[in-house]
Amino acid sequence: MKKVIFLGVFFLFFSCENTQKLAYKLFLEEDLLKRPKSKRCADCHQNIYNQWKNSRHSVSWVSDDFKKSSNRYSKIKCLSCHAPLEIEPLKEPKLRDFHREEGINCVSCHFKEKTNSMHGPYEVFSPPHYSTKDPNYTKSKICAGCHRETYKQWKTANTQKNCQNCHMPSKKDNLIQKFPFYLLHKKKEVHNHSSPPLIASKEDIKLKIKVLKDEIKVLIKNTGIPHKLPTADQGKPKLYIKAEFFLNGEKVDEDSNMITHKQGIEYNKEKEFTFYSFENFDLVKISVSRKLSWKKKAEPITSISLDIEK
Amino acid sequence: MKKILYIGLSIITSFTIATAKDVRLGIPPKTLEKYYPPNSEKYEFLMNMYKASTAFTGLSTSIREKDWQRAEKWAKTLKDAYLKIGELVPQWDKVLRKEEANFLVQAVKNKDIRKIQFFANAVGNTCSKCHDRYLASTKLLYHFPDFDTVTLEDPITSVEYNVSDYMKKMITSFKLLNVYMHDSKSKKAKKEGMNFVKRLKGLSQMCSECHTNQLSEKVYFGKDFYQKVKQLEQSIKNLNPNKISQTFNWINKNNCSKCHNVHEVPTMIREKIKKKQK
Repeated sequence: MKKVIFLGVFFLFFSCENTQKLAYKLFLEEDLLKRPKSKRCADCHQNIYNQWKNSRHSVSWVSDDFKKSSNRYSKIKCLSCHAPLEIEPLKEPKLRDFHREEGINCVSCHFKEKTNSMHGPYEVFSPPHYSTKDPNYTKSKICAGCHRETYKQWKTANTQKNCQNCHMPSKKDNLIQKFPFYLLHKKKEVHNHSSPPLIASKEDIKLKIKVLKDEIKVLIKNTGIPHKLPTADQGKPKLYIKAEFFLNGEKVDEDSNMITHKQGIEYNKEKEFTFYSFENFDLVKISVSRKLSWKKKAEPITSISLDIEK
Repeated sequence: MKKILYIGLSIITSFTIATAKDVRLGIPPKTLEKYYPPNSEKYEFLMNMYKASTAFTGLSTSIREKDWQRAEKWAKTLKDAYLKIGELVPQWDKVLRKEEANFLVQAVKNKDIRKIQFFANAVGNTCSKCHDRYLASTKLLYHFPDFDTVTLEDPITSVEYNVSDYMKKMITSFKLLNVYMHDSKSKKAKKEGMNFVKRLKGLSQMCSECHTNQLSEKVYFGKDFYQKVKQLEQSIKNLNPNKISQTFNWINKNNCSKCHNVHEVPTMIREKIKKKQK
């Protein structure tokens, strides 16, 4: 009961504009507005920090793949997206010259110099730092400063889903975990900051097979993913389509097609791939798998088998 | 008789000397590494070179326009940038004509055209001598992209190879196509031929390691290329040696050689310089 009364009084007190100003004066923690390390944000936003720690964003600067492909940071045009100072919709960011090891960190995406505040999708009262509600955070274009190619592909897909819907799924939760302050905020849809890459399912890909002399044609339609399969601006994600040829239950041959992000399969479009076998076969099995840029192994997506009278 | 022998010997000697001539590139001091990525993103040495070069133009233009006040400013800037070379790369400090650089500023102050020409030449000569020796090797070492880290996934085995091993794999497929064709092993010939085509298409993985805007990729892997690849596939399927060789030659001339000419030759020289630098 005492807690409820305390909260009620607190809310009443801080709901008026002047007292909010006073609260900012009293509780503002200046260092938060000087682009601190992400661990500092974790003082309150523990869950989001933990998610980010597990994301590819957090290792975008220090990952072995990036070190190698940027030739130990020699390819300077690659650097700014891997340690951005401040992101802006549709605009390539500037490179940060501090805490680069954190890659795309909390303040890269949320702090804006011009408002001296943290931007996000909600109107929040957050005395330790100023906050600004920014509608861009609910739109795909906020990702497009760096993920330019994928954004272009998504635009042509003409779909209702945006980047955040799939890659930052949300659930009702507290934005902060620090006691007792989390009690002062209503729960909100909090987006997953681990930004999962996701994997296409059987339902997202339609396969059709045509059998000709010494070759089969496989038509693949991307019906579920509103960007190319695979997609990337850089990096080496791959989609593999493998054809295995059998005769009387024995595998006699195989052939495969490797699809890079530049030849990716567009949303709702069909693409044809040819597989050759100069052996006799009575069954062909087609399987589709994908490999993420930073993974060593491919993961299966779907497969289909077809009996053939050749 | 002696005379004939003498003439003969001189012809042989002069021929030997002529053919033994080498083109020499100086290997720049390792210190220079500090001023290029990944050690620095500021290109300090290069920026200082631009500063000196701009100052030289500023100096000569101001003198031509008889703007002596600005000429003096440019002379000082030139001297500072010139002397800074020795600070940045101590190994080059001793070749600088420091006194002449100071005298040049003095000559500009005195508006003494004859001395200006004399000292500007002295300073300028050290620049061109050094450029003659080191400019090409420095550009190859620090400006030209490094292919060491570029890898390509083999579409047949899914193994990641460096560029040179991938090329070997690809060209071996082509050689095997010919070998099996010769030996009338048609199934094997077709299989290797198709492997060659896949590996050829797989080369496109390499471009975007550096070319982020995909334009250059379209030059090498554009519509024409893919049309020819289709033709090549068809002629492999039919095992038609003439068609195979015709199409292969077209691709070789229009695609392979272009990329090789741009990238392979400088890479070969660069590798040699790198070995020596070690």
